[in-house]
Amino acid sequence: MAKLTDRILKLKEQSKNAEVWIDPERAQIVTRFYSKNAGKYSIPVLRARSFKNLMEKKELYLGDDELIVGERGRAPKLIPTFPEIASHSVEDLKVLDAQDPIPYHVSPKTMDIYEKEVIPYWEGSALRDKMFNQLSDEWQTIYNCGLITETMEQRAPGSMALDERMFGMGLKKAKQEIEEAIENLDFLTDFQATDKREQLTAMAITCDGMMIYAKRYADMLENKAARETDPARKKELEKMADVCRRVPENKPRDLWEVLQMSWFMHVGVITESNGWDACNAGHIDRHFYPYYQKSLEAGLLDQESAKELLSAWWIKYNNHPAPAKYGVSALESGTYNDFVNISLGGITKDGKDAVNDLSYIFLEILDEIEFIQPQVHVLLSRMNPEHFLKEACKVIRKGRGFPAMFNAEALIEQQLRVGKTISDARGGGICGCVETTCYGKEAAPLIGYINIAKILELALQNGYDTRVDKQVGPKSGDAKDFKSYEALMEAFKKQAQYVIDTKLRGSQYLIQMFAKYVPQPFLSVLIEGCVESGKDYNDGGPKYNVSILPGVGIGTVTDSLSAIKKHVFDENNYSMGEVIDALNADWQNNEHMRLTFANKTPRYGNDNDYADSIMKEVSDFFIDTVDGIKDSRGGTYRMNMLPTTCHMYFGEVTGATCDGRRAGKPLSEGISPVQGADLSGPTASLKSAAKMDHSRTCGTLLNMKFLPDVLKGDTGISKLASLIRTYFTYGGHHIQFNVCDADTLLLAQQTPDDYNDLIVRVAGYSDYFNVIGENLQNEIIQRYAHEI
Amino acid sequence: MIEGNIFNIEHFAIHDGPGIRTTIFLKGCPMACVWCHNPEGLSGKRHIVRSGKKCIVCIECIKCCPQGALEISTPHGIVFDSEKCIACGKCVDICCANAIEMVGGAMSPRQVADIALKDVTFYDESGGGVTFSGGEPLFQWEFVRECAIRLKERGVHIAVETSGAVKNDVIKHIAPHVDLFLYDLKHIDPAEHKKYCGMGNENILENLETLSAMGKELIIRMVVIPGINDAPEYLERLCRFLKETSGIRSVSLLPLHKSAVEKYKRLDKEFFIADFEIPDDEKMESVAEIFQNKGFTVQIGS
Repeated sequence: MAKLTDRILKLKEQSKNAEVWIDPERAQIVTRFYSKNAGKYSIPVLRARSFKNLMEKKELYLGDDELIVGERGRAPKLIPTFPEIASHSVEDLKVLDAQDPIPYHVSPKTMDIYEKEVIPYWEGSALRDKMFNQLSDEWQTIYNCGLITETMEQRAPGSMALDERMFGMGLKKAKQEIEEAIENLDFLTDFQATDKREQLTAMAITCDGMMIYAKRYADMLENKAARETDPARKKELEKMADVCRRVPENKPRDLWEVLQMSWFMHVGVITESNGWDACNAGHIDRHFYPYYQKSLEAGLLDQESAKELLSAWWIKYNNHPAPAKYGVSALESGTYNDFVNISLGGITKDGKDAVNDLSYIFLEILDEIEFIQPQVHVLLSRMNPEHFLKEACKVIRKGRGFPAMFNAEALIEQQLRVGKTISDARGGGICGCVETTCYGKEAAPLIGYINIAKILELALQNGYDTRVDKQVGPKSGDAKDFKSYEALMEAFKKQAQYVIDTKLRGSQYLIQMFAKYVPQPFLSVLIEGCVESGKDYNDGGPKYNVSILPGVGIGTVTDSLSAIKKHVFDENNYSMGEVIDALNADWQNNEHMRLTFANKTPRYGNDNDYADSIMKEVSDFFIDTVDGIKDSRGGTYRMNMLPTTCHMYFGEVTGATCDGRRAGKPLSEGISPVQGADLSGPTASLKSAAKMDHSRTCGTLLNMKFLPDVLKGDTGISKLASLIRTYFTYGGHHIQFNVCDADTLLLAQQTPDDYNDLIVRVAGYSDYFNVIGENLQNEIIQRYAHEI
Repeated sequence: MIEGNIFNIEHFAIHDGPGIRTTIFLKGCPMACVWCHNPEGLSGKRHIVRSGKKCIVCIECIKCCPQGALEISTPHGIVFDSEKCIACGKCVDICCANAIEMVGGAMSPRQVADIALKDVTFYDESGGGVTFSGGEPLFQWEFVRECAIRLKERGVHIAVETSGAVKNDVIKHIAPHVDLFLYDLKHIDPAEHKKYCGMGNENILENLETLSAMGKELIIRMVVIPGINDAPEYLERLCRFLKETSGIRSVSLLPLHKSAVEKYKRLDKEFFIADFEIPDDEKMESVAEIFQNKGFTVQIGS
């Protein structure tokens, strides 16, 4: 296959080496627009006009040798802020500038703009400021003590992927449909017609905004072409100008046009708002393939130039680190990665194998470009060829955690269970880290994480949090008096119910605040259902809506309950009083008990039903409690088991646990066993993990580590492939691999400069080892430690 | 009911035959190869090993030992007298730090089969199965046969990794229950074989002929040990022997490794091969070439 061209290598280096800076342009343009126009229009129309104004004014960037154009900021890795949602204070900006790792540099000039212009306008009226004071004391308490996080506190609901629908119409046609929908509103009988008209009008305005932006690029490229002296580049610039004149207004006709259109839609969504997980391009292999084939057949491109174009598009994603997070959001998700998670393989809407030539080419690009963004997953179906799986395994073997593997059939089952059509379910895939989402038709935001380990702490402490010295949960009884394991379990469930209820009450409110104050009309144009219903993406407009609640620490909790069950209630080795005293003392002077609990307990991850049945009871309880509750957008809440980096933050705020873990140390991540507790080999870990009811979740995350030696040669690849297939046969949702030995990681920690390229799997995403911070580094090393 | 003495069961064993396998390690071996990498499998009896590093000196083991085989000693923590130990396992159960381990334990064929069958879906998917290894698994051949019968009833592929150092009758009895023999040949020269492995190889070569004549699937496995068994004349002799006496055309070469050094330490045994040379990739290739030139299919590393 064709190697990466010099142009791509250069673009890659540029993107890799660019520093991350806060770009004040968006904040300044939006602030000026709001200060002149707020109050003149309905909120959706105001947002849409502000978006259009921004697309008319924002500076255009064209890098040397670029083939695909458009940036969120004024240049790669310049990150705008979204003060209408969360207004960074001077102090916040200083923290971002100084933080290490992942700094967001702030120049004095930028600081000046924020201080003089942006902050004075938004302080107190940014959505975050409006919302936070209104949340109940109970909510504030569980938030502050680390029982929950809240994704909507500074970023808009996102977590969606696009499908091929827009490629079949173009924005001009989309706008016509919106206008028809406005005409068809029935003001006599539909009492929401007025609101719908505002929403639809806003959507139409954003179409104009995007088309204007593309036209500006076309003009700029034409000018550049006219002045270009190198004939080859001149020709390219002319073609690029043509492309930008054509799309996104009209249907794309060839590969170049479809890639540019895809990228314009991406830029539009991430400029309009700061939604989580950016904007996922979805099933890129199956959606781009017809255009790829057409370009090749028409002789417009050959294999090499096609791959170059695809690579140029790919690299654009790396120019866009996540919007600058602060406070708890930075702790739950401390990374530049903005979680675009594009999909390869799977099953087409009409039930056929979706793997094609592009699936293989994208695997190659993924392998050769070596970025953390875009993330890639393989949706592995029974009907996908073994050769494709093995090619994916070869990339996995490189050790960067890509591609993550997902079970296509299991995803379909999950979606059918909640009432999606079979065709829509096949069109679904993964968003963010491991969240099952119907591409192009669904809003599937995460609403923040829930700390399962700390819930057990509450059950053991009668609802009291000794760290913050406060009664935070209900009084579920003095655990020292518990006479049975069942009594403890009952207290645990009581605390869990309270935390879930309190969390969801907050979410119901926040969802509506976003629906009301920060609609996303441009995104609404792209997601099916919003035009038909006349409702915004944030307000239940999409065909499907789900709100996902991820739980963190299932391994830690399972092992802790297993230890208490065995040593206190089965064998009477210790009393509950002794156990609680030992936990309160963080195991000081209790090493014997700590080791007994850690080493002499059946632990999750060993295909042992004593432990695994506890995992099952706990996870079923959370699923049963959350599953199907109506959210305030007209969707439903669903459970999920994903940590991102929250197992670190939640670990910091959770005291000692009965699995032998000391206070402040990381919790188990995803549905992986506690680091070092799975001593029976990978087949046993997989079987334990598969005992969770994956079909009733919106995704689970399982991390597995391998020493490179294990995966050597063709036989190593075959065995890895079989391992994945078997886990999926058991119904597992997702599995990701870290292939690297602990020695290498230790060396990288000591001499980071020698390991700048070392990428490791964190949790549902990969990151550079050097930038993840010492604590997380240690946690990842710990995952391997028992292997040596 | 017959019981086996087993010192380890490894799931996801990927170097002991095709596909994903479970390997059952049986205790006891009639040979005494100086490079043995499973020295804990040599003795036919179960015994205790301690890891001083993990010990927190809680002295629970001393309190529970009926033989007084454990004693406190400053500054070494706890010392263990293997002469007094009867391997009752009480200290193993009580040790909170998992610093004491039992090597070997009695299991019934049913227990072994139940554990191995847990991973049957992995075998199905990968074309794997169960491998009996050791020690010398055929040292307990009747037990292996019972396990194999149970597993074959459920369609599981059975491999035996053997040194062939057993009576010819044993080979004839076990062969019908085994799908694949991974046959370790240490050295083709009887005298050299005796020098490094404690016994000659005449019986081993005869057994190989028997298995080949029975039409069993066989893969020859050889640990490449520079200066001991890698001389071209030895390798060519081995090739000649295989061609003249068997249908075997498949050889698996394993580089010598010293990863067992910690095991020797824990067992308090001398590690003879400390200064042996580890063959590099080039060496392995050159050995492989000799076999390939004689028409053998060679796999390096597993």
